[in-house]
Amino acid sequence: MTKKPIKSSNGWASLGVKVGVVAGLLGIITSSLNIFAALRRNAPPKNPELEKQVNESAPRIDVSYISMSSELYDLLKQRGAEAAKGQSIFLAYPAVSNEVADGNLSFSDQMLNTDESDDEATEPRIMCLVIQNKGKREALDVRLNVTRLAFNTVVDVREVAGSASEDYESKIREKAIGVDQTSFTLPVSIETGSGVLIPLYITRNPLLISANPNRGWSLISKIAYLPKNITFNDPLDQHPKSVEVRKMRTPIRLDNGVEVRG
Amino acid sequence: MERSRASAGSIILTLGLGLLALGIGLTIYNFRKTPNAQSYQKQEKFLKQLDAAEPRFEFGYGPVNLDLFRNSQAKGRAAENELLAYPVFENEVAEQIRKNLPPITPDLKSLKLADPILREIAASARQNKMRLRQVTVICLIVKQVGQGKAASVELDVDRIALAGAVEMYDATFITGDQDLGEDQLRRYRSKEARQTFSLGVMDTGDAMIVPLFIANLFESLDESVESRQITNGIAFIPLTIRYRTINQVERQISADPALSSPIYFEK
Repeated sequence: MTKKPIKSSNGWASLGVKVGVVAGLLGIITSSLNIFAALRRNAPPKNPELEKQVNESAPRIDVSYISMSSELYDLLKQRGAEAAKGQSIFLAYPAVSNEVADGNLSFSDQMLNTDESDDEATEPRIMCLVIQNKGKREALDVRLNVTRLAFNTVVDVREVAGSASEDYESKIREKAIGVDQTSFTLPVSIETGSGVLIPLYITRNPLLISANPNRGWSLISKIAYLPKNITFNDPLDQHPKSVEVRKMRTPIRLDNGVEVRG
Repeated sequence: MERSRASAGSIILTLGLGLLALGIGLTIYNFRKTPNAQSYQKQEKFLKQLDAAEPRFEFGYGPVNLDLFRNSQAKGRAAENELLAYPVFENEVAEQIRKNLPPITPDLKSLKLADPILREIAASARQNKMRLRQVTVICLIVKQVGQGKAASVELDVDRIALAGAVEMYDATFITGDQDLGEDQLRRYRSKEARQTFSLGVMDTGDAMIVPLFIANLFESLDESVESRQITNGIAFIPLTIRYRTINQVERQISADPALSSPIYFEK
């Protein structure tokens, strides 16, 4: 009466041993084959020069900031990127349309604390992010991730030449009444030596040749974008890449170099 | 005895299944890591295309604020702003700026004038009624933006020795009709000679800032005379870029189209 369950238990145990042995053998064989394959793969590549060249020619995304006179921005838009190609560096880049550049989104002059004296005369300017590809392969599916800020008032930023200035980003964030995260997918891939201009916000700055070295500026657009990072793909390697966008240092001001002749 | 046999059986089963799981895991890992043949073919095809790729040049021309120029001159590729983070070509203008010899800003009171329009501001300067408003260095930025590498890149220029100071209304006044005052440099030259600046090998993304001449803008303290921008000493007028492709084919392009659309680079 008591032997039956013992026999049944022995049967299970023996089946377990058999399955365990077979599984173990299979595991040892597959593991050994994989380790062997991995060791062979980790051996020096057949053509290290090829790998080096592939790495060196990868897309290389580079960013900078340009403060552009509205006159120059309009000129670029009228002329079109194709017409400007080859004529001048970065002025051949297409400007990506967005709500900052296209809408009447800046505050009226009545809201600005302007001084009528010559040295304090100001002008509206468009701050653009320049995204360039300095690599030898095109960058695909380029996406710029930004923080989108909304304002109901002009924000004044004081920058003092040669000493500590206000952190423009903190000042702008502090005055924003709305904050959300958004992104732009560029309509075209960025080829070697090409780039795009992305309007970020509109400012009012002292005139180009102001004698006052302590230049402050005002953010006058109702919407501003603060860039965070750029993601893109390499055509030879479909793993997405990401590049952090640094904060603006002193941007270069670009103006039409032809004087207006009255 | 029976119990120990049963527990040995379950240990062997667990161990065996564990080894099988390890084998399956390693297979999946290896499969994901192994580069496929298609990827290598794509890479090889791309590199073959790259071997035949041509260089392509773009120009940036215009006045660069003296501080920005000095930053590029001192730091080259590490300069503050990426748009001007390139090496400066060493020529007579670059040397003058580095040494301030002859002075970057001339003494307006005693300056030899070639352009008669400047007599008025010189007279005003002698009465201490003029001040310097800004100094710019007019530069040509040569940038190689093609996929291919350019060898032996050379910039041909005309070296102009000015007979005295001339008015440079804006940076477009270096080409065109001398009688209409559009080519101030050649109009008031005392000597002119062809020179070649050797820019070396330029790979994708490489660029060089070539200083051409210095311009000083003077303005009146009492607004009794008009502001004038002047140039004196040595000036270079860019003509053509010549280079060799990787396949040793010689090419040249004119710098002239860039000279009619100057851009101010300001701080």
